[in-house]
Parts: sequence; structure tokens; C-alpha cells
Amino acid sequence: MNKDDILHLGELARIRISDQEAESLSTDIDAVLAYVSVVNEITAEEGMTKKVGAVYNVFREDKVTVEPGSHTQALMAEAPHVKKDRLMVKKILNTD
Amino acid sequence: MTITELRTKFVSGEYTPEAAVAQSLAVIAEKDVDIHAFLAVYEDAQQEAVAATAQYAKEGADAPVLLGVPVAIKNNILIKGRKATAGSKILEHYTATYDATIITRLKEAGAIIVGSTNMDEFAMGSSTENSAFGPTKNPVDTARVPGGSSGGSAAAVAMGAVTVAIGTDTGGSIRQPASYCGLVGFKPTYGAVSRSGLMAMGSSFDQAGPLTTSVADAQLVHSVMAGKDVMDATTIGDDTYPEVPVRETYTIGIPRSFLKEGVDVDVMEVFETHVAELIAAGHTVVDIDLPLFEKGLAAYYVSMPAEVSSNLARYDGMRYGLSVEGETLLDVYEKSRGDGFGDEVKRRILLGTYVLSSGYYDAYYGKAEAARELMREELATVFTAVDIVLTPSAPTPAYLAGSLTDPVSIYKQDIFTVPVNLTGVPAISIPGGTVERDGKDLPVGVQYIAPHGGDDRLFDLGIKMYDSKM
Repeated sequence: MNKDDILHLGELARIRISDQEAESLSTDIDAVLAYVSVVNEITAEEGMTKKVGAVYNVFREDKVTVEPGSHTQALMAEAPHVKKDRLMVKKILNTD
Repeated sequence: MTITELRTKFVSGEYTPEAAVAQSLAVIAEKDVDIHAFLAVYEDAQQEAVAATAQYAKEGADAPVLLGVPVAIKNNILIKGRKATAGSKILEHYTATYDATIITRLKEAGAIIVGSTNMDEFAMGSSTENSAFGPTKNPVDTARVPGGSSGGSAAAVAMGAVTVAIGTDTGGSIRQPASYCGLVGFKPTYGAVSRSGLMAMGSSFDQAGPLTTSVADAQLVHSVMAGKDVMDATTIGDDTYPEVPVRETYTIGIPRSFLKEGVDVDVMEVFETHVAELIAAGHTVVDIDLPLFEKGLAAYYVSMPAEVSSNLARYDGMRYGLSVEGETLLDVYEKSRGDGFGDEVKRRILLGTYVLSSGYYDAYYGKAEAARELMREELATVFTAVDIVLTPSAPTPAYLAGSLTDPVSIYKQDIFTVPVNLTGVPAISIPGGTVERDGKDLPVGVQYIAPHGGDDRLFDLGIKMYDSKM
């Protein structure tokens, strides 16, 4: 994995990576990927590729269980940018 | 002092919650400047202790089971109104807005929370050296790490500040620090304890459990925290798994080929001594094969980072936590996460992003999940022949701070604990003995593993083999 691969993964993961960080991350991640390649041996031996684990239905009734608005103040107090009861975020659509 | 001893004295009036909490805060004030087990200490615990003392005077033995017992909580578990940082700069100023289910249950049982403990950032690490707020030292030998990621919780108990601390265990984060600090550390069956209010790392692995000085204490605290919870759909009931009976004596299996390499010679000697003690106590010890367990660590370092990369997507600088100014929305995301996360967290998020990306998903994530299923089957087969599987808790005693730097060597510290989380079974680490390093006696643990739902069997054997000899 080279530096550009790491920077690309950083973009996918929404993490800004400096050039210097990318160098050390590429060495580390290569070492880990080499180590984890053993997982291929396990499945090859058993002749299977993919299986979903112990899964069963745990749905519950879709209804509101708390008083609407009862947590709003506490939650909004943690937000970095607030206007009245709304979170303020950067504009995502450009008009020009 | 154990919880059982505290309780007897609280009920008789020989000792009071007020004195216990004062003692707890005094130990922290004296020792924590050096050890750094705590990220926050709650002085107002003293007022709760006054109330608890009064309640004992009125209710005596009818008081709630943990009334007045000082407890420390790993800082990735939410306590309403308290800072919950998970050892990360990205949550440095975050205050929890609700109690985790286990906190509600501990409070209802009367426990008094005296502080929150240090940890590897977002529980990623095996030494508590990855905390954004500085490392924790091992009270047994301060040149060494306390283990991790629940290293602050382990150190808090080991330095005598509290009788019990709560940790979380995704790949060994309760059992390995318990081993390094000479404590009992318990990881419940997956689903036995609610994860509501725990900061998710690997959702299919995470469980909370106690670090204590006796097995009976671990059992008591676990029984308070465990049970179904509507806030966590993965919690299990009493009937989810077939009953795992408690017996007079057990058949104990040892995966010998798994222990052949990588374990320190004197750690193996402690292990063999424990095996001899089990035999002397009337238990039957047999050799077993768990070939897939030996490759478990590889599967773990695919599945876990995959879950990490998804779970940590929520820390984006929008709703809470660190938010760094930027030109565009994407800028804010990238800068907040770039500045807020430490090296190990970034490493695992990128690794997770890679194994989940198109073209690599089947080769890595799909195969690792299939491997987990095969490991569950392999273990289920073994448990038709044995009652308990025995391994060392970790291949070495606590290592010197700063001595392990490359990720793969650090990950290998978890080789015996990780398969337990991959398969969802319960396990306990109890002190097995000590080994000498640089003139100091360092504790090492042994690990008992039981089938799904066999938590009580672990407590039973642990009490027989450890508590009875205290």
C-alpha cells in the first residue's frame, strides 16, 4: 500500500491525513494486512467463503417511548454550533 | 478488602460508606498523581456516602446489595452529567446526557461512583498508553504498563482506591489488564450485559464487566449489571442458551498446540502449576485441539476494524465533540476527525475502511466472518467433551512502558483473549501466580472459558480455585 492509497482511504473515512502520517500508516497497515491474510487459510481449508452468524428477529413495537422534546436541551447543549433548536452546519449546495 | 467484607462491616456498623468513600478519595489523592488511573474524580461522592451511611443505620442487611461500595467506571461508559471522553481528544469536552443501563443498575444497587478511569482511546490498545490524556502506570511496578484498554480501571483496583472497577472487553480489555495487575477480570457471555450507554467499538464483540480482587465480588457485581434491556436488542434472556450446569468437579481442556509458541517460559510454569492445582482439587484435565483458535487473532483484526470504522463514523464534529472550522462541510469532517483521533484509532478506521471497500470485502470481511462461524462450531464441538477450556490470560507479564511499538507485536498480547470475543463465550482471568522481572514479582493470570451462558460455571470454579485460597 503506498502513500496515495492511504490518502484515498483517509478521504473515504473522512479523516485528514498528513503526508508524514501517510508514510507511517502505510507501513503499519501493510504489516497488519500481511498478518491477517491467515483468514484466507481458514476458509480455504473448510471450503467456504461467507456465512452470516447467529441472527434472529428482535424487532419491538415502533412507538415513541419518551416525551417528545424531553432530551432536546441536554443534547443541544453538546452541539458545537446551534441556532435556536437547530444544529448549524456548513452549506452543502452551491448556488453558483 | 472485598465487597463481601465491606458489606458485613457496613451492616454491623463497624465501618461506614462515609469512611470507605473518604478512604477511596484519600488513596486517589495520594497515589494517582503518579499512577494516573483516573481521568475524573467525583468529590460529591462524599455526600452520597453520608446518605448511604444513614440508610444502613435504618435498613441494615435489607439495604441494596452494593449500598455504599465505592466504584470506578471506565470513561467510555456514560454517567449522566459527567464527562465521557473515551480517552480521546475528540470527546474531551463531551458530557454524557444519560446513564448507561449498567450505570442505572449499579446506582439502583447503591454503588457510589468515585471517579472515571483512563483507557486506551476508544478502547483501542492493550497498554493504556494510547490515551489522549497520558498513560496509566501499573501499581505493581510503575515502570510497566497496566495493560489495556481498561488499564485505568485495573490500576484503580490494584492501587487500592476502589474494591471494584468496571471495564469493557472487546478483545481482552478486561482480562489482560486483570492479568497484568493481579486481579480478577470477567468478560460475560455476549449479550448478558446491556451495551446501551457504552461507546461502541466493535458492536459484535463489546461487553462490560468487573475488575475485582475476588471472584465472588465479580459474580455479585455482574449479577447487578446483567439482564435483558429494551435499550439493547442483543441482550439475552435466561433461556437463550441451554443451561450450563455447575458441578462438583469439571473436565478441563487445554489446547496444547496453541501454547507451544510465543508464551514466556515462566508464564508457562505458572500455568502448569495451576494445572497441577486443578488436578489436585479433583478436576480432570485433558488435551484438546482448537486449530482455528490459533488463527483467531487474524480474523479479529479484520472484523473488529470493520466495525470500528462504522461505529466511529458518528464522531464528525456536527452534533457533539470536537468540531474544527473548515471551508466546506467535508473540510469540517476531515479536520475534526484528523485532529480529534489518535494514531491507533486512525490506523484501525483506515484498516476497516479498506477491508470493507469494494473488491476487498469478500476477501477480508466476508472470510473473517465465516471464520468466526467456524470457530463457534469448533468450540461447540470441544464443549461436548469438556466443561471449561483453560489458557494463560496473556503470553507475558506486564511489559515495560514504551517497549512495544509495532502494532502486530502489541496485538499478539491478546492472542488468548480474542477468540473468546470472536465466538461470544464468557471467560474469566484469575491470578495464577507471579514471575520475576528486574527483581520484581509480576502477576500473571490464567483464563477459564465456558460455553455460551456458562458465566456461573466460571464463577463457581474461580471461587473454588482462587477465593478459597485467599
